[in-house]
Amino acid sequence: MTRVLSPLLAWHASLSKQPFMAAAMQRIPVSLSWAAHDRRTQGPASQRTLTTSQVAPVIVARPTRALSDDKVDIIVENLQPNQPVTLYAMLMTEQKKLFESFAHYVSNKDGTVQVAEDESLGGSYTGCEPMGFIWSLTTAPETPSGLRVRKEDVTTPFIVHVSVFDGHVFERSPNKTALAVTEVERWFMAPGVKRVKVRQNGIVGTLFLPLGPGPFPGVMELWGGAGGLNEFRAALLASHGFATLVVAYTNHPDLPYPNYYIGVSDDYFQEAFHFLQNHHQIAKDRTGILGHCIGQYIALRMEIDMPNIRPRCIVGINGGHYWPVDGKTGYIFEIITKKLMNTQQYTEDNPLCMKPFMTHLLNKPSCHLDVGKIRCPILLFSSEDDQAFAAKETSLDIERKMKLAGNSHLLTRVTYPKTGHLIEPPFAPVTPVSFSPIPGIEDKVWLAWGGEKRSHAHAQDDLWQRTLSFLNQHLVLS
Amino acid sequence: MKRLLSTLQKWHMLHFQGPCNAVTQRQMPLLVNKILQRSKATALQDAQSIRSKYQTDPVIIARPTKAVVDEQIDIRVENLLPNQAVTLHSLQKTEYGHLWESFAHYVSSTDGTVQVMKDESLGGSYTGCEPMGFIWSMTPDPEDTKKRRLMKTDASIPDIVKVSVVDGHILERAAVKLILADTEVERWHMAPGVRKVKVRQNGIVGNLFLPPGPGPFPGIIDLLGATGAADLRAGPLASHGFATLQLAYISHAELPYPTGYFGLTNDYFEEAYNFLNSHPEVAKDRIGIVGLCFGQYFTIKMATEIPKINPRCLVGVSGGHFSMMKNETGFAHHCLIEYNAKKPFDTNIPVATKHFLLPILDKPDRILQVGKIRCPLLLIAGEDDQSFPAVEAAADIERKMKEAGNNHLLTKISYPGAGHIIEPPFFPLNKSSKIQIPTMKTKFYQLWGGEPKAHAYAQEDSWKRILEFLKQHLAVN
Repeated sequence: MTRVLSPLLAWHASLSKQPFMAAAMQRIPVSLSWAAHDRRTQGPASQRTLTTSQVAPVIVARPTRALSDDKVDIIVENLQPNQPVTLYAMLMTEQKKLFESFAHYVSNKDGTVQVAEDESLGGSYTGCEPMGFIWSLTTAPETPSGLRVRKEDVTTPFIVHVSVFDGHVFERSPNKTALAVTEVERWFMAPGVKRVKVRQNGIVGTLFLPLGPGPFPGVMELWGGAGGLNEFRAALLASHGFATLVVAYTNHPDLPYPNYYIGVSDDYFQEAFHFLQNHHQIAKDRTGILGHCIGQYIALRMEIDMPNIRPRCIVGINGGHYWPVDGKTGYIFEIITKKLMNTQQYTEDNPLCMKPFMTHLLNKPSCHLDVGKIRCPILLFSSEDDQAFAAKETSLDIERKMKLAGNSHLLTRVTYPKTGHLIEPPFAPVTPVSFSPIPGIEDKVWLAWGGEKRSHAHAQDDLWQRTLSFLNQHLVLS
Repeated sequence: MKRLLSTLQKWHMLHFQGPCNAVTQRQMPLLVNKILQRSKATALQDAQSIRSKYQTDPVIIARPTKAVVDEQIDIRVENLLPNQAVTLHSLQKTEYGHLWESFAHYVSSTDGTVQVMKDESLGGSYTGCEPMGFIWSMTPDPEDTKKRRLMKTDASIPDIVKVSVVDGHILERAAVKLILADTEVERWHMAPGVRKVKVRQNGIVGNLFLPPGPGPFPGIIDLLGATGAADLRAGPLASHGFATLQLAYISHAELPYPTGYFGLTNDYFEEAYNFLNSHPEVAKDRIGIVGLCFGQYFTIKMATEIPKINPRCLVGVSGGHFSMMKNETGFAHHCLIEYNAKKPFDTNIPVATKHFLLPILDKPDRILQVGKIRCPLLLIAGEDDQSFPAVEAAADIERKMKEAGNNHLLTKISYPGAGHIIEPPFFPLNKSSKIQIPTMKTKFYQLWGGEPKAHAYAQEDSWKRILEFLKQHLAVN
């Protein structure tokens, strides 16, 4: 149940913002003695310490160590009643970049803040957001802005420092010391999950195996045009019981092609899928494919154009049934780079939206895949505010084509309003805009991914639950 | 992870997928009643046919998978057959490579689930509803001859417990035929952010555990027993916000005395107290002392005989107010060495040593002046302590404090059925173990005592009370 600000609290909150804060604070001891009186007449002593001694504020996070898609419950205790405090979260990534978030709370008459139930009055997020302190993490002022939070080494956790500061602050200052600090570890691999580097038969990928002898259902994961090998979603899927192989097909040092050039042919993906199926710990006929953005196109192509590959189910996120490469191999996004005149004109406030560069492909049926040939259940997610790709319109087109072909009963289509392109596992910090390299251009450009933070964060959570249910239903239960 | 469809829904789908799947709303409740009236046998048949059609594999889910040692772990087993007999098997490999394991017999509900937090164990290492029984009921491998105590020497490495669900009710590892599902659980002695600092200055030998944050934190000096220092309790204490100095005073490689010999003076403890008190992250003059067994003697000694040490509170667990040594210094197990010299112990059976120490209570010059204690004292004793007369010592302390007039400072708790080694919650019971006593050629088989369930309750309850007590008296403004 969420608490709504009472007039008294609002009075206190407004006072604390005034310059004469010291004078305002002098009035607080009155309410303190009331609170002390309340405590004395309240419940069993075993639940709380005696009132005669004041106890230092303490912040308790449960669980302290969790998978990164687990919820964390934060409770701050032993504050003064109706004390304005700031919940400050800080994350130092492996690339030594600092991310932080601030949330303004006011403690209740017991001197407690329960992040799962109380409302934030300002800062990086407002309202009742139990996990807001993580998904609203943004670059600190001294860190160059426009960076995304990336986990390269999935065997180690993200350590998020969560602390409580007195008053409502918007920035870190050396003069203020925290009232209490705790750390929360966000792991990507559950205990027992094994990480196997795969470099055979030309495949460049990483395999994550859950704990146990198997056989496990298998998932092949493909990322988007930025390429590389992002292992964090695969590690999380393995922590949920799916043996996951994440495959790189572009932009990886172990691939013998230039950056942002897709040179791999159909054989590459076939090899990868068969590797997954034939693994002795993976159930041969229970393998699916999960693809993000261009990865979705490849997943569809594997099902439609490659007869040897029969995935049990497909999950697609913000992708299409066409891709921005002429033919099967070529430079990704040459379409964009050819038309891009001047990259300097794009700034943080006016970033480049890649969406309009590819909408003409939507109206060119000749370069679409024949989605009527899909024979397995398919779950498509699309964001309405995707600024990098026309995800929603494309998924509508896919649905229309499948209806015409008669196999639309296999399709489940989910759209999320106000959500951007980069939908990642839950509670990952949200980036609507980032300063990234564009495939084919040397310099970095400000790219727009879209999405409003809060809706995007909720969409990430919802998508993850649906994905796990869908994979569970088709790879495990049936 | 949520299970998609309940067994009931699956049954519906199975039987109503044909053209007659238009089951009206009115008919539904009747069908539900019919289903509920089915006998157990037919329900099992249906479940098996559902199972073969949907092939749901059993799964065991532990939340959280990584926990601090005093956190409760919720274990749930799903997708079993209804009323299936299964065994929850936990396995832990100690630092020395020995296996400790436990078996618990459960029967799944009609849903095919076992919820360890709510269901009752029908046999095995524990019975009844014990959410953390799968950890604290672990016993060492019967074939283990070394009989080492389950200890923690390095708090930064977690304990990994493998929890698996085995078909049928079994009582030993050799009888495991079919493992239905397994998972791993990590138990950490330090919460994230707790820092471990090695302290080797001014002659002090110890480890300082600092909670995360700028401080200042209340301080604790943690003293373990005569078997030497270990990271057992200091990490969990620091995880609750206390800057804990795990102080070694006996049987440590870096102390200049042989194993089992205590040779330090009062200066050593004074240095340790001053070190902690003057630490920038420790709140000045808010220091408590916690002592286990032999450590309790030094806890009380520090408070009564060293004037410069002013603790705010004292906690003593399973110990006394008298020294087991002959003089101010000497072998800790002096009594046992003397008895062994007269008549050697049979080192194949566990020996209860409690009665060896009882006569000391009649010697007032060997006993500390508990009347001089000026701060609150919490005493915890196990009534089934077979190695040390903790209950008798606590009663004597109370008597003496009554005579001196300061017994209002004393809180005394004794737990029936609890043994000597009362540790943070959920630790398996060390009922007996072989320890090295100086001058004895073979290891001495010491009986610590305790009955598993009562001891586990004592550990849980005493931990709560100790934390409450410390928070109450060491609170920082």
